[in-house]
Amino acid sequence: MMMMMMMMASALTSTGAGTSVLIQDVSFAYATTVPDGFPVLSGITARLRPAAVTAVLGPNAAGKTTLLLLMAGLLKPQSGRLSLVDGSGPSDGQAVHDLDLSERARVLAYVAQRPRVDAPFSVRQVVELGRFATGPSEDAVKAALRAVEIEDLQDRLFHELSVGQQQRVSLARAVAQLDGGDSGPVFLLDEPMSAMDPKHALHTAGLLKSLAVENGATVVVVLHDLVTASRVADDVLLLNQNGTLAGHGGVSDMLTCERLESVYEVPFVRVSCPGEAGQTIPVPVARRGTST
Amino acid sequence: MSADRRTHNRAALWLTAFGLLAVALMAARLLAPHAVAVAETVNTSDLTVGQWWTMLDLRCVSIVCAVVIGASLACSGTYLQTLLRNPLASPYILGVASGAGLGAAIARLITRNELGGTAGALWYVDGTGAAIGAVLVLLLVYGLSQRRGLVDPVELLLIGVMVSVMCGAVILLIQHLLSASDTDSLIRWMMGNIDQFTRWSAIIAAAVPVAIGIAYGLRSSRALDAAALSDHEALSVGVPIHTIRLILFGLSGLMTASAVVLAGPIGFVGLVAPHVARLLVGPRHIVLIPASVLIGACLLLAADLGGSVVSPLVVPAFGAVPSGIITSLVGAPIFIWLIRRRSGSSRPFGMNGGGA
Repeated sequence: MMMMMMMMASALTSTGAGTSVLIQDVSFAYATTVPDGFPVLSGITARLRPAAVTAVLGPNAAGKTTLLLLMAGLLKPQSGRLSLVDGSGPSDGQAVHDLDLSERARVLAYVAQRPRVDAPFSVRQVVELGRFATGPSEDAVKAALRAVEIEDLQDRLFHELSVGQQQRVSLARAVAQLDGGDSGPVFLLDEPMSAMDPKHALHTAGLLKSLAVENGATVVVVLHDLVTASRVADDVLLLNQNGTLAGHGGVSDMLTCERLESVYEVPFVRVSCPGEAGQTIPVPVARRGTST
Repeated sequence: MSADRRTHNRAALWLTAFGLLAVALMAARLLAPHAVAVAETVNTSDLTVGQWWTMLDLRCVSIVCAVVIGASLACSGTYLQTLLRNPLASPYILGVASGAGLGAAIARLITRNELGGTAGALWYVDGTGAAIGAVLVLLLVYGLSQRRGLVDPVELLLIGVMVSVMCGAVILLIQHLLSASDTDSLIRWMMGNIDQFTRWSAIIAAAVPVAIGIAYGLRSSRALDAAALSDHEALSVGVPIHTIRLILFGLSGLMTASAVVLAGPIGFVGLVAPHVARLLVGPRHIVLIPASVLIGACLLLAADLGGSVVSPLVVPAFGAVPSGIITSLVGAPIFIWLIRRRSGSSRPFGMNGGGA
């Protein structure tokens, strides 16, 4: 794992201090036929630190994706405030939803869970789309293709790839987008490895780590897989089923069996993982008397 | 890099080829022997100088009309397909052309008394009505097919076709109400007919929105490329996708209205030209827009040449056949071929389709 991180060196050439994502008492509901909407998130407060990978975890429909969209400024909270804090710059502390689009695109990249490109673009052209706000850069595109290890796919058509390959291309697009930015980059990734095979999932986990460690990036990843979370995350933001915050802190404090059981409503045990020194991983177990 | 250069070279080659084809078609139309009336063909060398100039002027009107109409329909078809993520979107299928036709017909109905029955000849009456009709129908179809912010591609097309049918019925009703002389010109206009006697002022008035539409699209070509991403991802790379969509919808409506004012609703050019262009030069709008515009212009020039020169010479009894009839006769089989081709691969025309 460490070897892999070393080998990847730095995928970005950005400078500047890291950017924290500040979430202050945020509540959100989608507008529906119900008068006040259906509450998805309520009263979330957290500060996601730079140079670290934060995993957003929680049961289905707990509001993980919604929280990511709020951080990306793509949704506006009904109450509370989300902002980027980097200690410098004119946009410092401004609500992320109110930031100028191209200004925001230079700091913050978002990758959706299901990659989508509705035109016959090649892989390389899709990665180039990431440079819309930051300006065309052959070097950035090349570096991103190399970092995600898809140089061999660059002339293939995006829509002919498998979903796992498409996820890697989308990640490369985000890496290219934030290359050379003037403040600490923020990556918001919605289950970026959900369709990848173990080899590429491991490589991607290593890449996310290296973005945080080498480039001081703030990496926020929505995940379902607790094994990946234990491996890749420094911090964990845990959501309850009802959209409230179950906890936010270091991965070892958050992924305790008691806490996971209260959030996911199934018992957990920790098993040791021989390949990785000292690492234990939480695994859900079937309740006694219930069939799997 | 090499793949990139190859793509560029190929695009440049196709653009040059279609540019040359357009010039050849224009020359053919300009210099072709003239069918004066049924079974009577005049050799152009027999004309006096004055007759020559008059004839050249009339032919120039046809040529410029064909170029403006072809360019506008192809360009608005390109924008609608990209922005609606729908490979089947076109001004004709979405009902925009029928909306423009209905708007123009209503404008004639309203103004016929004030203008003493000559309203049909006034392009700005038609034009205002057509522009309002086109934009209203586009907004109506888009609004009706939206559900919780998502557009269902199949629903969009079905609603477009139905709105188109409705507009057609109301146009027939208006024909029923109009006097016989107005009805005749309206029927001729509904066939999609390039009129040699169109006034230059009308052509220029129609060409302005088309030029603006093409220029704006080229200027926003990188944003249009990124519109292929999901709306959320497009916004996150910095594309103001909602603004672009609104502006280009408006321009597509105006461009369609311009084409409809000049020659009535002409089908299939707006659907076929962007597809052929995408197949030949790829999806990048900086080359896709000019390619589509050139192909659209070539299609209309060819249809006009076929309808007004070839058909009267080959089958004198036909006389000059309206271009709209030719594009539909030729365009429909091409479209069926594209559909058949699509069923061979999993994705239509290299686009995914899906909600906007």
